[in-house]
This record gives sequence, structure tokens and C-alpha cells, in this order.
Amino acid sequence: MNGLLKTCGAALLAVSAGLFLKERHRDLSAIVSVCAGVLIVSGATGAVEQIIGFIREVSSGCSVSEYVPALLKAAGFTILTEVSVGLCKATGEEGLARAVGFAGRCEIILISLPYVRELVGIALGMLNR
Amino acid sequence: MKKRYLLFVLILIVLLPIPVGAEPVRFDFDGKIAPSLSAPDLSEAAEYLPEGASDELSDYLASEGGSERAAEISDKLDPRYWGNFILNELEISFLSGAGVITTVLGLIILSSVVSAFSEGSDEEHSRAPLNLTSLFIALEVARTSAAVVSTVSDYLTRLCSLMNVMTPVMSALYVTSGRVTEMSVNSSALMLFVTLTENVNTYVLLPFAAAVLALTTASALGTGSGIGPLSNAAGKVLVWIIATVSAVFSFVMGVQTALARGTDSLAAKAVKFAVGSGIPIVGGAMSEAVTTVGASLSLIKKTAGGAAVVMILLIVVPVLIRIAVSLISLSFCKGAAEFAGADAAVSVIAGARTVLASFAALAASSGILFLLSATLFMNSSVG
Repeated sequence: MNGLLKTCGAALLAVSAGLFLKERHRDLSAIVSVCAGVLIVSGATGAVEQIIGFIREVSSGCSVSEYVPALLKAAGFTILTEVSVGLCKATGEEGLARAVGFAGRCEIILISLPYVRELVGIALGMLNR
Repeated sequence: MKKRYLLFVLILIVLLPIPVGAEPVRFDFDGKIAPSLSAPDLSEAAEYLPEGASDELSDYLASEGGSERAAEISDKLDPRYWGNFILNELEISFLSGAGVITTVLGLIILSSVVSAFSEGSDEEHSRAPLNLTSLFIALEVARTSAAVVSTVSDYLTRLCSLMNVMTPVMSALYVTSGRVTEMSVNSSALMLFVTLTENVNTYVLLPFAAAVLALTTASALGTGSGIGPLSNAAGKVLVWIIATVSAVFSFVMGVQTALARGTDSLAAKAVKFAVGSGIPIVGGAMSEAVTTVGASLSLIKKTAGGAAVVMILLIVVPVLIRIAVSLISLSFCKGAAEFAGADAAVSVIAGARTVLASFAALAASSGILFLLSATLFMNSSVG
């Protein structure tokens, strides 16, 4: 609860500072927003680590355990990409946002490639019987 | 008159010293009949049974003599035996089916937890965990379906090999009992359907299964949305064709066998009448001997036919149970995937169900037709 209060407080402070600086120093306003966003996400890593640890603990020994690392990695890439895209859009850099989104999608597809290969292998195996 | 009488006495005197007697005559047809009158050796047929199934028939194969084997086969045809057998198979199949359900449910729960991180965003990459979950569900379903398809295809091959071994045995017993027309009808229909089953299994169903899996994989990656209805339609057509062909075969074989049986009965009765009336003194006894041989052959045929029925059931019943349990577990998975909104996984599961239904149709129709031929064989008799 305390951590969430601190995070919300920091976000509100950053918004206020951004609004104040927007009229006088537009560039500084964008930098403050980006830095605040990065700090807030870094602050949430503790909670994310605990969630990941819980998921790993619950799924260990189950039939889904082989899929957990890939799913967590995909979730992590999704979060990172989303935050980066949001920050880029907030600073008005639409082009950069699209590039980051594209890179994120490529990384996620890369995670799924081994499983696609196995699926195709199963289909070919049936064909070659 | 006196001369004729004297001539007759002289002839009698000449003929009297000639020795006359009866000796036992052994009918030896170069051993052609003797081996057929003993119980046929079905150990070669038993080699094509799956491991567990061949253990079920170990007592039958170890026993000697027609009456012992007949007793073993009548035990195996008892409904209580099959009740226990089906329960064992259900227990084995249920474990693998439950494994798929738990994995899919676990993936859906995991995906819901992970997707909560990216909720509220309309970006394409935010749907990545859900898309990945669909891929994982598709992979799990594909693994299970491929294992079932592989087992079923193997069992179908064994069934065809078994019938390839049984057909000459049944033909030999048909011929021995004088059922020549019935033999030609039964064996030609059987060989045709065995060839059809082998070819459909190898050249139609397996490529169809692979194509459905590959296309639904593409659907899981989001590149095709209209593949599900296409594979469903293709599967329904395939099942309809298999069911129609087997129904036609069964009907034609049943009618032809009935006609052939009438022909053979008429021919056998004609032979018995000719033997009975044509051969003097011993003709009646020989005619009755033919009936006795026929009765012995009926026992052998019932035993061999019963063994064939048991072997076919030992192959077909586990296949059908395994497919039924897989279809039920895939239904649960489909419901769970629909609830979670994993549309791509739903299409993969639907494709897997179509494939398994096609294999079930082929296994069931082959089993029924082969059982029909074995039953017709058991019920044929001499005379």
C-alpha cells in the first residue's frame, strides 16, 4: 500500500511538473515525463519479481511448466514495449513509437518460433508416416 | 438242362478257391484333408495384435485340441470379460485425456494472469500473451492428436495385416467344408475392403490429418481465419464416404453370402444324394460320414471364427475408446478456449476433432465389416 501511494504521489508530482514546464520549457517537460515513467516502472519491478516467483512456484511440476518461461518473457516484452511506446507517444514521437512497437512484436514472434517449428514438425511427421 | 446245370457247378468249383475278404482301405488325399481337420494355427495372426492384446490370447494359443480352444474362446466372448476390458481401457485413456484438459486449463489460467499486465491497451503487441497461449494450446492439442493418430493408424495397419492372415485360413476351412462359392464371395470382399482400408489409412487420412494440422497452425498464427469451416466440411465428406462405402460393402457381402450359401447347400445336398444312392452298400454310410466331417469342421470354424472375432475386437475396441476419450477431452478444451477468447486455439481443436472423427469412422467401419465376415464364417455349415 505504501509503495502504491509513493508511486501515485510521484506520478502526480511528475504530471504537475510537466504541466508547469510545458509552457516555459517544452523539452524539459518531455524529459521529466520520460524519467518519471522509467522510475515508476523500475519501482514496480519488485512487485513483478514477486508475481513471477509466485507463478513459477505454482507451475513447477505441472504440465504447463515448460510454457511458463516463454509466457513470462512474452509478458515482459509486452510490458516494456507498451511503456516505451506510450512514452514515445507522450513526447510526440509517433515514428519512434511505431519502431519500438515493431521491435517488440519481432521479439515476441522470436519467442514463438521454436513452438511453431515443433507444430510444423508434427504435421510433417504425420505426412511422412 | 442237365448240361447247363453241370456247367454252372463247374464254374462254382472253379470260383470257390479264390480268396475273398475285406481289408481296411485308408483314404489318403496326400494329407490335404487331415491338417484342415485339426485346429488351424493362428499364432501368426496373433503376432499382429498389440502387446497387451496378445497377452489376452496367450491361454488360447497355448491350449491344444479343439474343445480346449473352444472353451477359451467362449470365455473371451463373455460380456463380463469385455466389460472388464473396456473399463481397463477407459482407465488408461482417461489419464491421457485428463492430462490434456489440465494442461489447457492451466495455460488459460496462466494466460489470464499474464494478460492482466497488458489490459486496457489496444496495441497489437498487448495481445501477445493471448496469442502465445493460443499457440501453446494448439501445440498441446497437436501433440496429443498426433499421438492418438499414430496409435490408431498403427492399429488399423495391424487389423489389415490380421485379416490378411485370417482370410486364407477361413478360405481353407470354407473349401474343406464344401462352401466354395461362399469362400469366393467372402474372401474377395474381404481382400477388397482390406486393401481399401490400408489405402485410405495411408494415402488419405494421414495426409488429411497433416494438412488440417498445418492449416490450423497457420490459423493459430493469425494468418487464416476461414480454415476451420473448410476442414470441418472436408472431414464430414470423408466420414460420409467411409460410412457409405462400408454400408454398401456390408449389404452386398451379406446378400452375396446368403445366395452363395444357398448354392453351396444345394450342391452339398446333391453330392450327398449322389454318394448315398450311387455307391452301393456303403453309400449311405459315406453320406453320413460327410455329415460327421461337416459337424467337426463346424466346431473348428466356430473356434477359428470366434478367435478372429476376439482378435478384431481386441484391436478395434481400444482404438474406439481412445478416440472417444480424446474427443471428449477436446470438447472440454474447446469450451475452455472459447471462454478464454483464444479463437485460434478453438480452430486448432476443431480441426483435431475432425481428424479424430475421420479415423474413428474408418476404424469402426473396418471393425464392423471384418466382424460381419467372421460371424458369417462362424455361422456357415455343411449341408
